[in-house]
Amino acid sequence: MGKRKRFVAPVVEEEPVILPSLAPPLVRDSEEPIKKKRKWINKQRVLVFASRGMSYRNRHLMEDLRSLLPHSKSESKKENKDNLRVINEIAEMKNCNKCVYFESRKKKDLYMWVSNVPQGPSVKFLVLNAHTMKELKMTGNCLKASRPLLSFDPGFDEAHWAVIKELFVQTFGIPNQLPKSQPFHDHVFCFSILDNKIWFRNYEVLDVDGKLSEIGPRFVLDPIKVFNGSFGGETLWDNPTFVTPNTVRSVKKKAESFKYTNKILQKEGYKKRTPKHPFRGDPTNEIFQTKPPEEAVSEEKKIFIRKKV
Amino acid sequence: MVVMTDSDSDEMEYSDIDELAAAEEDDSDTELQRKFEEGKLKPGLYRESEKVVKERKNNVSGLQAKLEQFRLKLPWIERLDFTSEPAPLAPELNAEIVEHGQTREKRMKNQNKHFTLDDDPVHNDFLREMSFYRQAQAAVLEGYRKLEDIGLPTVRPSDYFAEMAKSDDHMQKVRKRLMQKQIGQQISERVKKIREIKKYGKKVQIEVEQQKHKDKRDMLDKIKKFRKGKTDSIDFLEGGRPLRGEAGGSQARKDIKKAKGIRSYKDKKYGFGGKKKYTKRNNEKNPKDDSGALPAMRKPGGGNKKGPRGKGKQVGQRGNKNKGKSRK
Repeated sequence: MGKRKRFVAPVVEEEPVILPSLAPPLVRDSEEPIKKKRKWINKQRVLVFASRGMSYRNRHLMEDLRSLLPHSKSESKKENKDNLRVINEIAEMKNCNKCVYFESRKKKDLYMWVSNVPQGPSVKFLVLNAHTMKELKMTGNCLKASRPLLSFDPGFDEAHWAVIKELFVQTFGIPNQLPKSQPFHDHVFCFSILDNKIWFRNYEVLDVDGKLSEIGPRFVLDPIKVFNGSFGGETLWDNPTFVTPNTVRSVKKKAESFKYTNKILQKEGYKKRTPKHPFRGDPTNEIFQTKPPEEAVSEEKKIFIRKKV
Repeated sequence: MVVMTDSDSDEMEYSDIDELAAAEEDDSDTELQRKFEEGKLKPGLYRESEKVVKERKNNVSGLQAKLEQFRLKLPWIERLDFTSEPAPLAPELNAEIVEHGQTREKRMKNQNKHFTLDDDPVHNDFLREMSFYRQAQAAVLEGYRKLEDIGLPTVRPSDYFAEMAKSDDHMQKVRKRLMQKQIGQQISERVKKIREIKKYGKKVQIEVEQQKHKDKRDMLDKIKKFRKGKTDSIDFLEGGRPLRGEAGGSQARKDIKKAKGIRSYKDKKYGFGGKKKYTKRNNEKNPKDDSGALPAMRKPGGGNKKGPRGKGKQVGQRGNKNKGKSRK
């Protein structure tokens, strides 16, 4: 025992140098106010769900978004595509103030609604070129609930783009101090504008000096309309360059059909133009097509040989 | 579109137009006819009225008001958003772009003569992805600076374990794919190298063969000249490349000598040439004692003492036996 006491003494001397910053003081004054943890102020909850008739790839895309947004809530697929106003009530019941709704048409076109639920605005997008997080070429990985940095293109200054940007910040940004969230910032959501469309990318940050690798998902959003209300209301902006996927398909089909009819017409024309019988002159003319004897070759020579009588 | 209104042709051509269908269209021909009869239209050229382009809405003030209404009025740390120009092009990225362009051009030039890198969708796709990458990079560089100023953690340490967006199984798959890709690349590179070496080897082989032929031709020419008496010296036989290697010549001669010696010794020992048949037979001059040669064939107790006579008897006996068998 005596020996131990001797050993303890030097350790006690060292402790006060390290500890004060890490551990809370052992004794606290009752008058002293408790230092509160940082507050969770920004309470956003996003409802992410879809309509029926979704393709598997798009469903995976939706699930990826759900897994990347810890403040999201899910809901079973919506049956009826007509009445979108109902979504407001669904969101309210789920206690959500943002909503990302995927609407698929004809089992191939995917539309995405992003809405600020009680009073708007809402934006409708057409989703193009969707790639999910499951694809093996995306090599990055991140914490499931870490907060992403949101990188926006300088093009988001224009009026309608600014509204879209603000909506994205509120839906895709994970609130600070969200109980589910993780402390590190290890990925970036990148929204760029190119060709009047928004290109979404998600990168993992590998290094402090800015080395990135893609995590996925990736998709392109073609904005169609900005509405004043949530899922409806006055149209504030209407994309002049937007072409519906139906028209794209029909134009393509038409072009192809013209190709076919053109081919048929050309064939018919060729048939009409080509003479049925090759040109034939007067058969007696052949008499005058002769050769001089010195130019005759092999068989033709026989004509010129005279038999001795 | 230009419409010619001509009363005669109108009646003839469009008499059978379905009334219902015609009623639906605004500018149908029956309507034109009716208007013409009423006297509102006069003969001549008429241009179709221009299509009314649907006005696209862009309510800027409304948008701004809405933005102001629902904007988050919170400090930056709650939002974490950046508006960033693409980061300056890092030299290694630039090198990557150049390399991609070169490999792409090299590959596509073989297939298509009119190929240009500017129109190549694959290369353009690569460039586009690079621009997104750089934009994200700029945000990261700026954001990490800000976060460090506040004193918040940035990059996830490698020993921090928590649930990840992608499962470990999935990451294993990703790693496997990367490995396979790398191995495939290595194999293709090696094959390429081997192919090149083979090509070079073939070239060398051909050259050597040609050189050999040339030497031979020259030599024969010289010999011919010597024969005809055009040259007196036969130095060319010593000079130049020896047909049988000079360095190994003496050694070869030694070998031959040695081999000859062995042969002569063996001939002496075992004999060479002459008749070999009946050499081991007895004759008057040299009666042979085969006691040591065939000991096993002898019957026990017989043979040796009886000498040559005994043997002769045995042979005779054997012959009789055979005769008997054949008779039966």
